[in-house]
Amino acid sequence: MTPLLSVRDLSCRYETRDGPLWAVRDVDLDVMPGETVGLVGESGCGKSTLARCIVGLTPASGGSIRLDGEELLTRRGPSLAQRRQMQFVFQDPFASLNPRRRVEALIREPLDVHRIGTPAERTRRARELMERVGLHPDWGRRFPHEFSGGQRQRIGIARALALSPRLIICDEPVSALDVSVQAQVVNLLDALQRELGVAYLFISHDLALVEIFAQRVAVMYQGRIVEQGSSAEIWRNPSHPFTRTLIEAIPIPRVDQRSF
Amino acid sequence: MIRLPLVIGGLIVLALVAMAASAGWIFPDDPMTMVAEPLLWPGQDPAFPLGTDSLGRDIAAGIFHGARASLAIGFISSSAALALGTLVGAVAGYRGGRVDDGLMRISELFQAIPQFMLIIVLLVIFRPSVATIILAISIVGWPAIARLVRAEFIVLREREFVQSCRVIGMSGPAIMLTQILPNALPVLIVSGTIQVATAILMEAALSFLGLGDPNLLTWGGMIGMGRDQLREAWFVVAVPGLALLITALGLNLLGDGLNDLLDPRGRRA
Repeated sequence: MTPLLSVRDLSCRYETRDGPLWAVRDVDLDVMPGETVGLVGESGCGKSTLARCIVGLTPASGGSIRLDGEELLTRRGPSLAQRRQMQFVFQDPFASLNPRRRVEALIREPLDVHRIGTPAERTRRARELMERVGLHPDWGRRFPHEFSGGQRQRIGIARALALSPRLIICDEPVSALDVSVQAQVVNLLDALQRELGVAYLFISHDLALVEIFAQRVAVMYQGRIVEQGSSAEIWRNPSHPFTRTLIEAIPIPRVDQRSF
Repeated sequence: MIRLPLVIGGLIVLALVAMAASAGWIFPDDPMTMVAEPLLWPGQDPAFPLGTDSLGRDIAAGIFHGARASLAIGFISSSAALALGTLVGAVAGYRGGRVDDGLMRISELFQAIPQFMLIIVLLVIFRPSVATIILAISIVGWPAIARLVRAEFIVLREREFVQSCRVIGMSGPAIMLTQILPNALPVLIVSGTIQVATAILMEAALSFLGLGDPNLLTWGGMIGMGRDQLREAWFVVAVPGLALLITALGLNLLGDGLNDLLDPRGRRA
Protein backbone atom coordinates (compact mmCIF):
# COMPACT_ATOMS: atom_id res chain seq x y z
CA MET A 1 0.00 0.00 0.00
CA THR A 2 1.36 3.42 -0.88
CA PRO A 3 1.31 5.98 1.88
CA LEU A 4 -1.22 8.80 1.77
CA LEU A 5 1.30 11.22 3.20
CA SER A 6 4.97 10.70 2.75
CA VAL A 7 7.49 13.07 4.32
CA ARG A 8 11.15 12.65 3.42
CA ASP A 9 14.23 14.48 4.73
CA LEU A 10 12.07 17.40 5.72
CA SER A 11 13.89 20.28 7.35
CA CYS A 12 12.74 23.63 8.54
CA ARG A 13 15.22 26.23 9.62
CA TYR A 14 14.69 29.58 11.29
CA GLU A 15 17.33 32.25 11.02
CA THR A 16 18.10 33.76 14.40
CA ARG A 17 20.72 36.15 15.69
CA ASP A 18 22.76 33.23 16.95
CA GLY A 19 22.71 31.49 13.58
CA PRO A 20 20.25 29.03 12.10
CA LEU A 21 17.88 27.13 14.36
CA TRP A 22 16.66 23.78 13.06
CA ALA A 23 13.07 23.40 14.19
CA VAL A 24 12.67 20.27 12.05
CA ARG A 25 15.65 18.27 10.81
CA ASP A 26 15.71 15.38 8.33
CA VAL A 27 12.31 14.03 9.26
CA ASP A 28 10.87 10.94 7.56
CA LEU A 29 7.25 10.14 8.28
CA ASP A 30 4.50 8.15 6.55
CA VAL A 31 0.77 8.13 7.10
CA MET A 32 -1.21 5.31 5.47
CA PRO A 33 -4.77 5.85 4.26
CA GLY A 34 -7.23 5.56 7.13
CA GLU A 35 -4.70 5.20 9.91
CA THR A 36 -3.82 7.39 12.86
CA VAL A 37 -0.22 8.30 13.45
CA GLY A 38 0.55 9.92 16.75
CA LEU A 39 3.34 12.46 16.86
CA VAL A 40 4.55 13.08 20.39
CA GLY A 41 7.26 15.19 21.91
CA GLU A 42 7.82 17.92 24.44
CA SER A 43 6.80 21.49 23.65
CA GLY A 44 9.26 23.20 21.36
CA CYS A 45 10.49 19.95 19.81
CA GLY A 46 9.22 20.92 16.35
CA LYS A 47 6.05 18.86 16.05
CA SER A 48 3.84 21.87 15.35
CA THR A 49 6.35 23.23 12.86
CA LEU A 50 6.32 19.88 11.08
CA ALA A 51 2.52 19.98 10.90
CA ARG A 52 2.55 23.55 9.62
CA CYS A 53 5.12 22.67 6.96
CA ILE A 54 2.87 19.88 5.69
CA VAL A 55 -0.11 22.18 5.13
CA GLY A 56 2.07 25.00 3.81
CA LEU A 57 1.66 27.45 6.69
CA THR A 58 5.39 27.45 7.36
CA PRO A 59 7.88 27.26 4.50
CA ALA A 60 10.12 24.21 4.67
CA SER A 61 13.85 24.62 4.07
CA GLY A 62 14.32 21.32 2.29
CA GLY A 63 13.13 17.79 1.73
CA SER A 64 9.95 16.47 0.23
CA ILE A 65 6.33 16.11 1.25
CA ARG A 66 4.14 13.96 -0.97
CA LEU A 67 0.41 13.62 -0.71
CA ASP A 68 -0.86 10.66 -2.69
CA GLY A 69 2.47 10.63 -4.51
CA GLU A 70 2.29 14.28 -5.53
CA GLU A 71 4.81 16.79 -4.25
CA LEU A 72 3.43 19.57 -2.02
CA LEU A 73 6.66 21.53 -1.66
CA THR A 74 6.44 23.39 -4.94
CA ARG A 75 7.05 27.09 -5.38
CA ARG A 76 3.35 27.84 -5.30
CA GLY A 77 2.64 25.60 -2.33
CA PRO A 78 -0.16 23.04 -2.17
CA SER A 79 -2.74 23.38 -4.95
CA LEU A 80 -6.42 23.84 -4.24
CA ALA A 81 -7.07 20.22 -5.19
CA GLN A 82 -4.34 19.08 -2.79
CA ARG A 83 -5.65 21.29 0.00
CA ARG A 84 -9.00 19.62 -0.40
CA GLN A 85 -7.38 16.31 0.52
CA MET A 86 -5.82 17.49 3.77
CA GLN A 87 -7.24 19.66 6.47
CA PHE A 88 -6.08 20.94 9.82
CA VAL A 89 -7.57 21.10 13.30
CA PHE A 90 -5.96 23.76 15.43
CA GLN A 91 -4.97 23.57 19.05
CA ASP A 92 -6.79 26.60 20.39
CA PRO A 93 -10.53 26.39 19.75
CA PHE A 94 -10.91 30.02 20.81
CA ALA A 95 -8.33 31.54 18.46
CA SER A 96 -8.99 29.35 15.43
CA LEU A 97 -12.53 30.56 14.69
CA ASN A 98 -13.17 34.05 13.35
CA PRO A 99 -15.09 35.76 16.19
CA ARG A 100 -17.16 37.80 13.74
CA ARG A 101 -18.55 34.96 11.68
CA ARG A 102 -21.51 32.77 12.46
CA VAL A 103 -20.93 29.08 12.99
CA GLU A 104 -22.78 28.03 9.87
CA ALA A 105 -20.68 30.44 7.78
CA LEU A 106 -17.51 29.10 9.36
CA ILE A 107 -18.38 25.52 8.45
CA ARG A 108 -19.52 26.53 4.97
CA GLU A 109 -16.39 28.54 4.26
CA PRO A 110 -14.30 25.66 2.85
CA LEU A 111 -17.15 24.76 0.49
CA ASP A 112 -17.46 28.40 -0.58
CA VAL A 113 -13.74 28.64 -1.29
CA HIS A 114 -13.75 25.43 -3.33
CA ARG A 115 -17.08 26.28 -4.95
CA ILE A 116 -18.62 22.93 -4.13
CA GLY A 117 -22.36 22.71 -4.79
CA THR A 118 -24.94 25.48 -4.83
CA PRO A 119 -25.24 27.86 -1.87
CA ALA A 120 -28.32 25.99 -0.68
CA GLU A 121 -26.49 22.67 -0.85
CA ARG A 122 -23.58 24.14 1.09
CA THR A 123 -25.88 25.30 3.85
CA ARG A 124 -27.49 21.87 3.99
CA ARG A 125 -24.07 20.24 4.16
CA ALA A 126 -23.02 22.61 6.97
CA ARG A 127 -26.11 21.60 8.95
CA GLU A 128 -25.38 17.92 8.33
CA LEU A 129 -21.81 18.41 9.52
CA MET A 130 -22.95 20.17 12.67
CA GLU A 131 -25.22 17.28 13.45
CA ARG A 132 -22.45 14.81 12.67
CA VAL A 133 -20.06 16.36 15.19
CA GLY A 134 -22.73 16.55 17.86
CA LEU A 135 -23.96 20.13 17.57
CA HIS A 136 -27.56 21.13 17.09
CA PRO A 137 -27.98 22.32 13.47
CA ASP A 138 -30.13 25.23 14.63
CA TRP A 139 -27.12 26.66 16.46
CA GLY A 140 -25.63 27.73 13.12
CA ARG A 141 -26.82 31.30 13.55
CA ARG A 142 -24.77 31.73 16.70
CA PHE A 143 -21.29 33.17 17.06
CA PRO A 144 -18.31 31.12 18.27
CA HIS A 145 -18.12 32.92 21.61
CA GLU A 146 -21.50 31.46 22.55
CA PHE A 147 -20.00 27.96 22.67
CA SER A 148 -17.81 26.12 25.16
CA GLY A 149 -14.27 25.01 24.36
CA GLY A 150 -15.32 21.47 23.50
CA GLN A 151 -18.16 22.67 21.29
CA ARG A 152 -15.84 25.07 19.52
CA GLN A 153 -13.41 22.28 18.82
CA ARG A 154 -16.34 20.35 17.32
CA ILE A 155 -16.97 23.35 15.07
CA GLY A 156 -13.30 23.23 14.09
CA ILE A 157 -13.62 19.54 13.29
CA ALA A 158 -16.79 20.10 11.24
CA ARG A 159 -14.95 22.80 9.29
CA ALA A 160 -12.06 20.42 8.64
CA LEU A 161 -14.47 17.70 7.53
CA ALA A 162 -16.43 19.92 5.13
CA LEU A 163 -14.21 19.12 2.15
CA SER A 164 -14.23 15.37 2.91
CA PRO A 165 -10.43 15.26 3.20
CA ARG A 166 -8.49 12.00 3.34
CA LEU A 167 -6.04 13.35 5.91
CA ILE A 168 -6.66 15.58 8.90
CA ILE A 169 -3.71 16.96 10.78
CA CYS A 170 -4.68 17.57 14.38
CA ASP A 171 -2.27 19.89 16.16
CA GLU A 172 -2.87 19.21 19.85
CA PRO A 173 -6.63 19.32 19.28
CA VAL A 174 -7.56 18.50 22.86
CA SER A 175 -4.75 19.95 24.97
CA ALA A 176 -6.71 23.17 25.55
CA LEU A 177 -9.75 21.24 26.83
CA ASP A 178 -10.82 19.74 30.16
CA VAL A 179 -9.97 16.08 30.58
CA SER A 180 -13.60 14.93 30.38
CA VAL A 181 -14.14 16.97 27.22
CA GLN A 182 -10.87 15.65 25.79
CA ALA A 183 -12.28 12.13 25.87
CA GLN A 184 -15.45 13.23 24.07
CA VAL A 185 -13.52 14.94 21.29
CA VAL A 186 -11.12 12.01 20.87
CA ASN A 187 -14.08 9.62 20.74
CA LEU A 188 -15.65 11.81 18.07
CA LEU A 189 -12.45 11.75 16.01
CA ASP A 190 -12.33 7.98 16.42
CA ALA A 191 -15.95 7.53 15.31
CA LEU A 192 -15.40 9.77 12.30
CA GLN A 193 -12.42 7.69 11.27
CA ARG A 194 -14.42 4.47 11.40
CA GLU A 195 -17.20 6.05 9.40
CA LEU A 196 -15.26 8.06 6.83
CA GLY A 197 -11.92 6.29 6.66
CA VAL A 198 -10.04 9.54 7.20
CA ALA A 199 -6.39 9.35 8.28
CA TYR A 200 -5.07 11.43 11.17
CA LEU A 201 -1.70 12.82 11.99
CA PHE A 202 -2.39 13.39 15.66
CA ILE A 203 0.03 15.67 17.44
CA SER A 204 0.16 15.62 21.20
CA HIS A 205 2.46 15.86 24.14
CA ASP A 206 0.27 13.37 25.96
CA LEU A 207 1.73 9.95 25.27
CA ALA A 208 -1.02 8.20 27.22
CA LEU A 209 -3.66 9.66 24.94
CA VAL A 210 -1.72 8.85 21.78
CA GLU A 211 -1.10 5.30 22.91
CA ILE A 212 -4.83 4.66 23.00
CA PHE A 213 -5.82 6.61 19.94
CA ALA A 214 -3.03 6.01 17.44
CA GLN A 215 -2.00 2.84 15.66
CA ARG A 216 1.52 4.09 15.14
CA VAL A 217 3.58 6.58 17.08
CA ALA A 218 6.51 8.79 16.14
CA VAL A 219 8.49 10.39 18.94
CA MET A 220 10.11 13.72 18.18
CA TYR A 221 12.96 15.23 20.11
CA GLN A 222 14.82 18.43 19.27
CA GLY A 223 13.58 18.55 15.70
CA ARG A 224 14.25 14.91 14.85
CA ILE A 225 12.14 11.81 14.96
CA VAL A 226 14.00 9.59 17.38
CA GLU A 227 11.68 6.63 17.49
CA GLN A 228 8.89 5.28 15.34
CA GLY A 229 6.75 2.18 15.60
CA SER A 230 3.42 0.70 16.60
CA SER A 231 1.93 2.17 19.76
CA ALA A 232 2.12 -1.07 21.72
CA GLU A 233 5.72 -1.63 20.71
CA ILE A 234 6.88 1.77 21.80
CA TRP A 235 5.00 1.53 25.02
CA ARG A 236 6.42 -1.86 25.93
CA ASN A 237 9.90 -1.30 24.70
CA PRO A 238 10.97 2.32 24.40
CA SER A 239 14.43 2.46 22.87
CA HIS A 240 15.23 6.16 23.06
CA PRO A 241 15.93 7.66 26.50
CA PHE A 242 13.58 10.53 25.75
CA THR A 243 10.68 8.16 25.10
CA ARG A 244 11.35 6.51 28.43
CA THR A 245 11.30 9.90 30.12
CA LEU A 246 8.00 10.66 28.44
CA ILE A 247 6.45 7.40 29.61
CA GLU A 248 7.75 7.84 33.13
CA ALA A 249 6.34 11.35 33.20
CA ILE A 250 2.79 10.07 32.87
CA PRO A 251 1.35 10.59 36.33
CA ILE A 252 -1.66 8.27 36.23
CA PRO A 253 -1.46 4.49 36.63
CA ARG A 254 -2.19 2.56 33.45
CA VAL A 255 -5.37 0.85 34.61
CA ASP A 256 -7.08 4.22 34.94
CA GLN A 257 -6.49 5.15 31.33
CA ARG A 258 -8.71 2.31 30.19
CA SER A 259 -11.63 4.48 31.16
CA PHE A 260 -11.03 6.40 27.91
CA MET B 1 -24.82 51.29 30.71
CA ILE B 2 -24.74 54.95 29.74
CA ARG B 3 -21.95 55.87 27.40
CA LEU B 4 -21.88 59.61 27.93
CA PRO B 5 -19.02 60.61 25.58
CA LEU B 6 -20.57 58.56 22.79
CA VAL B 7 -23.98 60.13 23.31
CA ILE B 8 -22.68 63.71 23.54
CA GLY B 9 -20.35 63.25 20.58
CA GLY B 10 -23.08 61.60 18.56
CA LEU B 11 -25.55 64.41 19.33
CA ILE B 12 -23.03 67.10 18.38
CA VAL B 13 -22.25 65.40 15.08
CA LEU B 14 -25.95 64.86 14.39
CA ALA B 15 -26.64 68.53 15.11
CA LEU B 16 -23.87 69.50 12.68
CA VAL B 17 -25.28 67.28 9.98
CA ALA B 18 -28.71 68.79 10.60
CA MET B 19 -27.24 72.31 10.34
CA ALA B 20 -25.47 71.47 7.11
CA ALA B 21 -28.58 69.86 5.66
CA SER B 22 -30.89 72.73 6.60
CA ALA B 23 -28.51 75.57 5.68
CA GLY B 24 -29.99 76.22 2.25
CA TRP B 25 -33.45 76.06 3.68
CA ILE B 26 -33.13 78.28 6.78
CA PHE B 27 -30.75 80.71 5.04
CA PRO B 28 -31.70 80.48 1.37
CA ASP B 29 -29.61 83.53 0.41
CA ASP B 30 -25.94 83.39 -0.42
CA PRO B 31 -24.15 83.82 2.93
CA MET B 32 -21.53 85.94 1.16
CA THR B 33 -23.97 88.77 0.41
CA MET B 34 -24.15 91.86 2.58
CA VAL B 35 -27.50 91.96 4.29
CA ALA B 36 -27.19 94.48 7.14
CA GLU B 37 -25.03 97.08 8.83
CA PRO B 38 -21.51 95.84 9.49
CA LEU B 39 -20.49 94.63 12.95
CA LEU B 40 -23.89 94.28 14.52
CA TRP B 41 -23.45 92.63 17.91
CA PRO B 42 -25.20 89.35 18.58
CA GLY B 43 -28.70 90.10 19.88
CA GLN B 44 -28.62 93.71 18.73
CA ASP B 45 -30.94 92.98 15.81
CA PRO B 46 -33.27 89.99 16.26
CA ALA B 47 -33.06 89.29 12.52
CA PHE B 48 -29.32 88.55 12.94
CA PRO B 49 -29.05 86.60 16.20
CA LEU B 50 -25.30 86.06 15.90
CA GLY B 51 -24.58 89.56 14.54
CA THR B 52 -22.88 90.58 11.31
CA ASP B 53 -19.24 90.77 10.26
CA SER B 54 -17.23 93.73 9.00
CA LEU B 55 -18.89 93.55 5.58
CA GLY B 56 -22.41 93.27 7.02
CA ARG B 57 -22.84 89.57 6.31
CA ASP B 58 -25.03 87.44 8.53
CA ILE B 59 -22.78 85.38 10.84
CA ALA B 60 -25.55 82.84 11.62
CA ALA B 61 -25.94 82.14 7.90
CA GLY B 62 -22.16 81.79 7.70
CA ILE B 63 -22.10 79.26 10.53
CA PHE B 64 -24.80 77.13 8.88
CA HIS B 65 -23.32 77.25 5.40
CA GLY B 66 -19.84 76.84 6.88
CA ALA B 67 -20.96 73.64 8.59
CA ARG B 68 -21.83 72.31 5.17
CA ALA B 69 -18.39 73.14 3.75
CA SER B 70 -16.53 71.88 6.81
CA LEU B 71 -18.39 68.59 6.98
CA ALA B 72 -18.12 67.99 3.24
CA ILE B 73 -14.39 68.64 3.22
CA GLY B 74 -13.90 66.66 6.44
CA PHE B 75 -15.84 63.61 5.34
CA ILE B 76 -14.68 63.42 1.73
CA SER B 77 -11.00 63.93 2.52
CA SER B 78 -11.17 61.47 5.42
CA SER B 79 -12.88 58.86 3.28
CA ALA B 80 -10.21 59.24 0.63
CA ALA B 81 -7.41 59.08 3.22
CA LEU B 82 -9.08 56.10 4.87
CA ALA B 83 -9.50 54.23 1.58
CA LEU B 84 -5.91 54.76 0.46
CA GLY B 85 -4.47 54.23 3.94
CA THR B 86 -6.41 51.01 4.40
CA LEU B 87 -5.39 49.64 1.03
CA VAL B 88 -1.71 50.41 1.54
CA GLY B 89 -1.68 49.33 5.19
CA ALA B 90 -3.54 46.09 4.46
CA VAL B 91 -1.27 45.03 1.63
CA ALA B 92 1.89 46.03 3.52
CA GLY B 93 0.82 44.30 6.72
CA TYR B 94 -0.46 41.12 5.12
CA ARG B 95 2.29 40.61 2.54
CA GLY B 96 5.19 41.77 4.69
CA GLY B 97 8.75 41.54 3.39
CA ARG B 98 9.80 43.74 0.50
CA VAL B 99 6.29 44.88 -0.36
CA ASP B 100 5.93 46.11 3.22
CA ASP B 101 9.34 47.80 3.15
CA GLY B 102 8.58 49.56 -0.12
CA LEU B 103 5.16 50.81 0.91
CA MET B 104 6.35 51.96 4.32
CA ARG B 105 9.27 53.90 2.81
CA ILE B 106 6.78 55.71 0.58
CA SER B 107 4.56 56.56 3.52
CA GLU B 108 7.57 57.77 5.50
CA LEU B 109 8.36 60.10 2.64
CA PHE B 110 5.07 61.86 3.37
CA GLN B 111 5.43 61.68 7.12
CA ALA B 112 8.94 63.13 7.12
CA ILE B 113 7.64 66.47 5.87
CA PRO B 114 5.62 68.52 8.40
CA GLN B 115 1.99 67.90 7.44
CA PHE B 116 0.80 71.46 7.29
CA MET B 117 3.78 72.61 5.29
CA LEU B 118 3.17 69.85 2.77
CA ILE B 119 -0.46 70.94 2.39
CA ILE B 120 0.55 74.55 1.84
CA VAL B 121 3.12 73.54 -0.76
CA LEU B 122 0.54 71.37 -2.54
CA LEU B 123 -2.02 74.18 -2.54
CA VAL B 124 0.46 76.72 -3.81
CA ILE B 125 1.20 74.37 -6.70
CA PHE B 126 -2.39 73.38 -7.45
CA ARG B 127 -4.21 76.66 -6.57
CA PRO B 128 -6.74 76.48 -3.76
CA SER B 129 -10.17 75.11 -4.60
CA VAL B 130 -12.46 72.69 -2.79
CA ALA B 131 -11.12 69.77 -4.83
CA THR B 132 -7.45 70.59 -4.32
CA ILE B 133 -7.96 71.26 -0.59
CA ILE B 134 -9.63 67.86 -0.20
CA LEU B 135 -6.85 66.24 -2.22
CA ALA B 136 -4.11 67.92 -0.19
CA ILE B 137 -5.65 66.97 3.16
CA SER B 138 -6.12 63.35 1.99
CA ILE B 139 -2.53 63.17 0.80
CA VAL B 140 -1.15 64.11 4.20
CA GLY B 141 -3.72 62.04 6.08
CA TRP B 142 -3.31 58.55 4.60
CA PRO B 143 0.17 57.56 5.89
CA ALA B 144 -0.91 57.63 9.55
CA ILE B 145 -3.92 55.46 8.76
CA ALA B 146 -1.78 53.11 6.67
CA ARG B 147 0.56 52.56 9.62
CA LEU B 148 -2.33 51.86 11.96
CA VAL B 149 -3.98 49.41 9.56
CA ARG B 150 -0.65 47.76 8.85
CA ALA B 151 -0.03 47.14 12.55
CA GLU B 152 -3.51 45.67 12.88
CA PHE B 153 -3.01 43.38 9.87
CA ILE B 154 0.38 42.20 11.12
CA VAL B 155 -1.22 41.09 14.38
CA LEU B 156 -4.32 39.55 12.81
CA ARG B 157 -2.43 37.78 10.02
CA GLU B 158 -0.79 35.49 12.58
CA ARG B 159 -4.06 34.62 14.31
CA GLU B 160 -5.16 31.02 13.97
CA PHE B 161 -8.49 31.80 12.36
CA VAL B 162 -6.66 33.51 9.51
CA GLN B 163 -4.29 30.58 9.15
CA SER B 164 -7.21 28.19 9.13
CA CYS B 165 -8.47 30.07 6.06
CA ARG B 166 -5.11 29.60 4.41
CA VAL B 167 -5.37 25.89 5.09
CA ILE B 168 -8.73 25.67 3.34
CA GLY B 169 -7.16 27.43 0.36
CA MET B 170 -8.68 30.90 0.60
CA SER B 171 -6.84 33.47 -1.51
CA GLY B 172 -4.87 36.34 0.01
CA PRO B 173 -7.25 39.11 -1.12
CA ALA B 174 -10.27 37.14 0.12
CA ILE B 175 -8.61 36.62 3.51
CA MET B 176 -7.78 40.31 3.80
CA LEU B 177 -11.28 41.38 2.83
CA THR B 178 -13.48 38.82 4.56
CA GLN B 179 -11.39 37.74 7.56
CA ILE B 180 -8.99 40.45 8.65
CA LEU B 181 -10.75 43.66 7.61
CA PRO B 182 -13.95 43.03 9.64
CA ASN B 183 -11.77 42.44 12.69
CA ALA B 184 -9.80 45.62 12.00
CA LEU B 185 -12.95 47.69 11.54
CA PRO B 186 -13.05 49.23 15.04
CA VAL B 187 -9.62 50.76 14.49
CA LEU B 188 -10.74 52.12 11.11
CA ILE B 189 -13.93 53.67 12.43
CA VAL B 190 -12.19 55.33 15.32
CA SER B 191 -9.26 56.69 13.34
CA GLY B 192 -11.65 57.78 10.59
CA THR B 193 -13.69 59.83 13.04
CA ILE B 194 -10.60 61.52 14.47
CA GLN B 195 -9.38 62.11 10.92
CA VAL B 196 -12.59 64.03 10.10
CA ALA B 197 -11.90 66.37 13.03
CA THR B 198 -8.30 66.82 11.93
CA ALA B 199 -9.34 67.55 8.35
CA ILE B 200 -11.90 70.16 9.44
CA LEU B 201 -9.28 71.90 11.61
CA MET B 202 -6.75 71.79 8.78
CA GLU B 203 -9.21 73.33 6.35
CA ALA B 204 -9.99 76.04 8.91
CA ALA B 205 -6.29 76.76 9.34
CA LEU B 206 -5.85 76.98 5.57
CA SER B 207 -8.79 79.35 5.17
CA PHE B 208 -7.48 81.45 8.02
CA LEU B 209 -4.22 81.80 6.14
CA GLY B 210 -6.10 82.76 3.00
CA LEU B 211 -5.40 79.46 1.26
CA GLY B 212 -9.03 78.37 1.29
CA ASP B 213 -11.38 78.28 -1.65
CA PRO B 214 -12.26 81.96 -2.21
CA ASN B 215 -15.76 81.04 -3.41
CA LEU B 216 -16.61 79.03 -0.34
CA LEU B 217 -17.59 80.37 3.06
CA THR B 218 -15.96 78.32 5.80
CA TRP B 219 -15.50 78.78 9.54
CA GLY B 220 -11.76 79.16 9.14
CA GLY B 221 -12.30 81.82 6.50
CA MET B 222 -14.69 83.70 8.79
CA ILE B 223 -12.11 83.65 11.59
CA GLY B 224 -9.47 84.86 9.16
CA MET B 225 -11.57 87.76 7.96
CA GLY B 226 -12.62 88.78 11.47
CA ARG B 227 -9.16 88.93 12.98
CA ASP B 228 -8.64 92.61 12.04
CA GLN B 229 -11.57 93.60 14.25
CA LEU B 230 -10.58 91.27 17.07
CA ARG B 231 -10.40 94.09 19.63
CA GLU B 232 -13.60 95.96 18.82
CA ALA B 233 -15.77 93.04 17.59
CA TRP B 234 -14.35 89.81 19.00
CA PHE B 235 -17.60 87.91 18.40
CA VAL B 236 -16.87 87.80 14.65
CA VAL B 237 -13.96 85.47 15.44
CA ALA B 238 -15.41 83.86 18.57
CA VAL B 239 -18.62 82.51 17.02
CA PRO B 240 -17.02 80.44 14.22
CA GLY B 241 -14.18 79.59 16.61
CA LEU B 242 -16.68 78.14 19.06
CA ALA B 243 -18.37 76.22 16.23
CA LEU B 244 -14.99 74.68 15.33
CA LEU B 245 -14.21 73.87 18.94
CA ILE B 246 -17.55 72.12 19.48
CA THR B 247 -17.21 70.23 16.19
CA ALA B 248 -13.72 68.97 16.97
CA LEU B 249 -14.80 68.08 20.49
CA GLY B 250 -17.89 66.25 19.25
CA LEU B 251 -15.95 64.20 16.70
CA ASN B 252 -13.27 63.32 19.21
CA LEU B 253 -15.85 62.28 21.81
CA LEU B 254 -17.58 60.20 19.17
CA GLY B 255 -14.29 58.58 18.17
CA ASP B 256 -13.39 57.82 21.80
CA GLY B 257 -16.87 56.53 22.52
CA LEU B 258 -16.81 54.26 19.48
CA ASN B 259 -13.38 53.05 20.53
CA ASP B 260 -14.74 51.93 23.90
CA LEU B 261 -17.89 50.51 22.36
CA LEU B 262 -16.11 48.51 19.65
CA ASP B 263 -13.23 47.33 21.79
CA PRO B 264 -13.58 43.54 21.79
CA ARG B 265 -12.24 43.35 25.33
CA GLY B 266 -15.19 45.43 26.47
CA ARG B 267 -17.63 42.94 24.97
CA ARG B 268 -18.64 39.51 26.08
CA ALA B 269 -15.67 37.30 25.11
